[in-house]
Amino acid sequence: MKTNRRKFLKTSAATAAGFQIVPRHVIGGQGHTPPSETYGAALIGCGGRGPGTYEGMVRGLPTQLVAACDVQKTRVEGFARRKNPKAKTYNDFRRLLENPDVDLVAIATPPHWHALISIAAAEAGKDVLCEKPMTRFIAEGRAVVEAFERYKRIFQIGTFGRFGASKSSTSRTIHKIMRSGLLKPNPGVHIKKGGLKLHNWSGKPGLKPQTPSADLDWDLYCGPSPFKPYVSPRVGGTHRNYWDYEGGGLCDMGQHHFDPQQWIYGKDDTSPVTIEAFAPPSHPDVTGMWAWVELTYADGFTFVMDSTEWGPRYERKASKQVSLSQLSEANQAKIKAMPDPEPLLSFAEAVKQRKPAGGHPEAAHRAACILHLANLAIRLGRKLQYDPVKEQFVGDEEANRFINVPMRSPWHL
Amino acid sequence: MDIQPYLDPFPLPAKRGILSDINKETTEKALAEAMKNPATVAGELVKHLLDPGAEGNDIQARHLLHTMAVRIADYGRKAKGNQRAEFSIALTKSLSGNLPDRVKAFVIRQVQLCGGEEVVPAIGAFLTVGGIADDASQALLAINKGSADQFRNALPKVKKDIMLYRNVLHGLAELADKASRKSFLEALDHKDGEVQLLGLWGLTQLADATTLDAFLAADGRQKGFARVKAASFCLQLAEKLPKEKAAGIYRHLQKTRTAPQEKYLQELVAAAL
Repeated sequence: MKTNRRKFLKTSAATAAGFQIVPRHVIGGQGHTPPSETYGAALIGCGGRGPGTYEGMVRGLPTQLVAACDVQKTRVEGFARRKNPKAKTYNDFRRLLENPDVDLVAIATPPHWHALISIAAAEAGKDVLCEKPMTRFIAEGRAVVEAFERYKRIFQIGTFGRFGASKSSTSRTIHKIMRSGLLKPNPGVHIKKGGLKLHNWSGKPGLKPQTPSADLDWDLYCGPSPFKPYVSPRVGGTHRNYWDYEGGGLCDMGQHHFDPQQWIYGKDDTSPVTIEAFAPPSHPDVTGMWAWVELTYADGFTFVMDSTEWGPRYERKASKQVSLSQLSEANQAKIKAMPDPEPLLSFAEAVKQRKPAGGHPEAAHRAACILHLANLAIRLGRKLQYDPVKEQFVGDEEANRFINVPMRSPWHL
Repeated sequence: MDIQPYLDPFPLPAKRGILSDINKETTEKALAEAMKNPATVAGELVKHLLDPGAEGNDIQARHLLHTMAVRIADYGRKAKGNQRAEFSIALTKSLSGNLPDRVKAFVIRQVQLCGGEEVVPAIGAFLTVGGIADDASQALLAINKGSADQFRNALPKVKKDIMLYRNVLHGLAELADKASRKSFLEALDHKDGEVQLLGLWGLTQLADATTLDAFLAADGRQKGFARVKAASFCLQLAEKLPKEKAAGIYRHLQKTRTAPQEKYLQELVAAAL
C-alpha cells in the first residue's frame, strides 16, 4: 500500500486514529524519491536539546515521528506524548534502529554516545542529524567518517553557522584565498574572545554517590564511558562538566564558534599542527579553568580561544583577517577568476538529493578536533605537536592515549 | 613523608562548588616539588584517597595524583630519567593493599595514562575481578604493549562469568590478537549474543580468510540489531581481504539481505560487485 503524504496528513487530522508510515525503502530509496514520500523520523536522547535537535532535523522534510528513545523512561514518554502518542518508545537505541519505519535519526544524547549511535544508525541504513560536539575523542570522528562513507548515508552536525557564513561574499573570498594555497606564510589569526562558558560548565568534584531514579538506566547511560558512581549532575545539561561525557563549555560551544570559521578559512580537511594552552592543572573528573589556547595550522594560520573568564588574556598575536590585499596582483587575479565554492546543502536538501550535507562528517570531525586538541593541551599541560594526516600526536605516546580512548565492553568503534 | 605542602595549593571547591579559585603558579610550583620524588609521592597520595561514599574529601589528592600521571612521561623525557616507569610501578604496588574497589579503579585509571609494559602484569591481575575488570581492561588497552598476554591468560578463568568473559574477549578483539583466533571462533557459537558479536568483531580485526566460512555462517544466524552489526563486520572484512574473497562476502550479503528494509545493503553490495 502506498501512502500519499497529503492524504496521510488529512487522514491523521480527521480521525486522529493513528498513522501508517510507508518507509522510504518501500516507496523510494536512493535515487527514487517520490514527491509524496513521508520520512519516518526518530529522536534518540529526548531531554534538554533533544526536541530542538529533532525540529532541526525535520525542517524542510515531510516527516512523522515514528520512534523515540531515551535511557530515562519519563523523558522518552514525555516527548512522544507531546509529539506523537502513537510513536514507539524505546530505552535502548539498538531496538529503535531495528525499526524499519525509521528513515531519519536525530541524536541528542550526551556526546559520549554520539559516535557509536551515529555509526550504528548508518549501519542500519538511516540518515543522521547529530548534536554538537560530534564526538568525545578524536578517533571516534574518524570512525564516523568511515562509516558514513561505507554506507553512503547522510550526516549533518547540529550546528548551522557555516550555512550563513558561506553566503557572505567576504567569507567566500577568504575561503578561496585559503583553498588556493597562494598565501604563504599565512598571516591569518582568528581570535574567539569569550563565549566558551567556563564557569557555566565547570564541574563540582567530590560529590557523594546517590541512587539513580528508578526510571534511569544508569549502566546504559554510562555506555562506553567508565562506569562511575551516580551523582545527579552527571545526567542532564551538567553532563558537560565531566570529561567522561563531554569537555566543558569549550566542547559545548566550540563547535558553534569554530565550525563556521573552519569553513571560511578552508580547513574542513585538516587540523592544527601545534597546540598550546595557558591553563592550571586539570582535575581528573570535572572540567575547570583555563585562560587561552593557541592552535596553529601547517600554513601558519592560527585559531585562538581566549576564555576571558580566568587567568591572563591572550596577547601573543593580534587578530588578523585574510584578504586579497595580502596577495600579489597576479595572484589576486587568480582568486577573482576562481569559481565560488559549491553552495552548502542543508540536511533536507542532502537527504532528497543523496549528496553530502554542508556539515558532513569530515568537516564536523575536523571542527570537533579543534575542540579536542584544545582541551588536550589544557589537560596535558604541554605544547602538543599534531599530525593531521595520521591524526596522532608526534613523539608523545601518552598524549596519544587521549586520541583513541578505550571503551567499556561491549562497546567499540 | 609529609605531602601536605604539595596538596595545599590545589583548590577546594569555591563558589558554586567548582574549582574556580585555582592558581597556576602555586599549583605548578607544588607539582614541580612533588615531581622530585614522584614514586614516593605517588605512594603517599594513594593513602589519601577515599572511597567516593566515605566521609571527608580527597579532591586535592586526586587532583595532584592525576596531574602527576598526565605529566610524568613528559617530565621524564625532559629529565632523561625513568620517572614514568618508577611512578607507574609505585601506583600499581599500592593496589596490593587493602584499598576500596573504587579507589583501586581510580589508581588504575591513572596508570592508564602513564603506565608502560612494566605494569601490565599487575593490572592484568584485575581482569578477573568483578567491578574493577572494566577499568583494568581499558588501562591495558591504552598501554597496549604486552597487554594481549594478560587478556589471553585471563580468558579461561572468566568463562563462567559472562560480564568478565565479554570484557576479556573485547580486549582481545580490540588488540586484534592473532593468537586468539580460536577463541573468536569459539565465541561464534556461544549462547550469548554479545559474545557472538565480539567473536565476529575479533575475526574482522584479524582479517584471516581461513575463518571466512565460520564467519559467514555465524553472520547468517544473527537477528535484529545484531544482524545489522554483523553486516557491518562483513563489509569491513571485505575491505580488508583480497578481491576474490571480498566478492564472496558481497555475494553472501546479496543472498541473505533480501528484506525490504535491507535494500540499502543490496545497493551497496551491487556497487561493490
